[in-house]
Amino acid sequence: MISNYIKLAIRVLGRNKFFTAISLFGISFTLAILMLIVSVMETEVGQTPPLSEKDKMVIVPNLNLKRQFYDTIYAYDTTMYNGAQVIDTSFTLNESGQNNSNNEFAYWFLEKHLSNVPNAKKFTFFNSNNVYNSYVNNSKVEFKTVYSDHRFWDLFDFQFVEGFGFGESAVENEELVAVITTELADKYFGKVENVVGEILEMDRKNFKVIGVVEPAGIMLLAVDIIVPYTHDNIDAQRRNENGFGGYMGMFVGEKNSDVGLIKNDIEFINSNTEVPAVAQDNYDIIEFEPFSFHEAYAGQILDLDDEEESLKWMKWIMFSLMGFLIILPTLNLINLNVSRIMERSSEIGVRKAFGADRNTILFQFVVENIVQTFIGGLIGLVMAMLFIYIINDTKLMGDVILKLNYRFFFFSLIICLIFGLVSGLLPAYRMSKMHVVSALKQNKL
Amino acid sequence: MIKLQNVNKVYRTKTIETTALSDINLNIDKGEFLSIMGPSGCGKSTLLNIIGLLDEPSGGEVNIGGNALPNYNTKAMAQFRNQQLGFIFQSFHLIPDLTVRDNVELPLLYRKVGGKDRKRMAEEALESVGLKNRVSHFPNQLSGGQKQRVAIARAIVGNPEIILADEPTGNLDSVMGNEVMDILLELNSKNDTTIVMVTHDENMAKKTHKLIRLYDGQQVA
Repeated sequence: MISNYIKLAIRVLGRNKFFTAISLFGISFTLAILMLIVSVMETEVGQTPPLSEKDKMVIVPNLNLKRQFYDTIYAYDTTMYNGAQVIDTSFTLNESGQNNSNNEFAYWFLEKHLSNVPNAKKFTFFNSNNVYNSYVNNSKVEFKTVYSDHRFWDLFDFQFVEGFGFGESAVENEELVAVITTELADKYFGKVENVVGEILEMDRKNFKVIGVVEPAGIMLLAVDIIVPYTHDNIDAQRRNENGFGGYMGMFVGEKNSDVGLIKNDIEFINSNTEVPAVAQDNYDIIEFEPFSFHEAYAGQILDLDDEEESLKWMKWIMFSLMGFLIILPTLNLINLNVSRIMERSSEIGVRKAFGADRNTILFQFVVENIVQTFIGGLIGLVMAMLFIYIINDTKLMGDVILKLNYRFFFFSLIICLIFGLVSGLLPAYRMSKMHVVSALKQNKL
Repeated sequence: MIKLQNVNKVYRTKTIETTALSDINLNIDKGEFLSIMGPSGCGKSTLLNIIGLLDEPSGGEVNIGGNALPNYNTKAMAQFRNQQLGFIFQSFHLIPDLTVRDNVELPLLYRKVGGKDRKRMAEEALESVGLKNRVSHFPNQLSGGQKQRVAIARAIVGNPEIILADEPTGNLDSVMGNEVMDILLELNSKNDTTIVMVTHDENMAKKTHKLIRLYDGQQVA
């Protein structure tokens, strides 16, 4: 029976080509935009390499050192006590000002305080704030550099084109080794294959390439080259200072529910950590707040003071945007479908006369609408893939490389199905309720 | 086979009440060919719709094949129509997006008959009306007479006990009308199919076993 409905749906689409073209354009354009949003979300917050464990991840991005100043305000008053006048004194403490410094961490601080978080299965400390320039064949090549420890490669599952990441001994022995992206390999060496073993100059040091990876393609980690943190000269100078630097801590739990436990661990460590000795003259409060990946991401996008609040807002904005993008075209499609099905009221009458009950009619029209939506969805998919290609090729979203993976296709399928169901159900329900005699009287066959 | 007792049909709006049928009593035996005549708006089609379980009477009792109408719910009535009744309409009511064969298969589709059997039965029905060579055509590629023959094939494909025909020759010229009437008469005589036909044509009515006349919703003969 379904094959009959599908056959009929395709024939009905061919009946009024102009109407079908308008309808399909609306469906495909809407679905293409929705698929594009899915791709952005999937790339940025989905479980995609090199951050396949975002749901289990906790980030500690900043160290905050504070001192609160108080003013004491004394109040003098006279009162009568046993017939004699006495002076009554009281005082209040008012916050008058605050010393507040906020920055990323020095490596030593993270290593000292956060290298033993009980519920973290994996962790790494890295600095992604460095940009160096080099000149190759008289043109400037910009390196976005990450300094990291060897644990970086456990946590980030970069896709290696060749070679591998550096190990603990390479970091400790300050070996001049680097892992670069294919993009940088292409810019610097003019090739992406057989790059391992080549020498690359950065920050007046010659690094030997030991690995080549696909670009990360996410906003949170814009990187061209990863080298051992022991080559970070600035950080080396910061040892024994107040704890500020350019590093952040990233932790991964065994399972998603470990995120809360890791956050608790870090908060507990924070409560037992003292302000570094050299900073105690200026500060008496130390804070380093842990965030889930999604909170940190939302905080970076919306730039509100509170990351949890940012995540709430971001969810609201995304759901509203998706809802808005679905509801308006759905209403339009419902309207189009009602007039389209109305033209077929006589057919409904005939079908009912020959034994179709209400549910059968409902099912038929919903199937037809889903077929129509899936045809629109296929066109939308092609459009979305074209948009994604253009966005990636023109670097419209900076370092973000939008991804197309099976989850993207799965979510696109779900969106098509929901769109088809929602836009088809109401008109089909209305028509299935139509009285058979009234339907036959329409006589539009 | 079909028994109507004191059947009424009243259409009510907020301001007007229109009596379409009043105290209709009818007894149609199995294998009988009955024609219903009367001027336009006298209630012929309403009566046919009530017999065909497409519409409910406002009063009275409808009994078809021993089953009283109030015992049926909507789903059961749909099933009864599918199993026991076949309809032929004046304006054919073929579905334009379906081929001739798909149109004829329609009642079998709702009986959940398998694809191969549907195809065979539809082709047999089309052969019986002389249209086997048109199975893959679409309705707009057929003449009026051919369309009505397809409609007859659709009505008989499931071997219903009763065929209800609402002015089946009304949109056809006399030659085609006679062809269609001959098919109906053959169906009635060969298969013992009970046929109730609404018509304006005295000549067609004369060929049937029994004729009733309606006037302003009342049975006058």
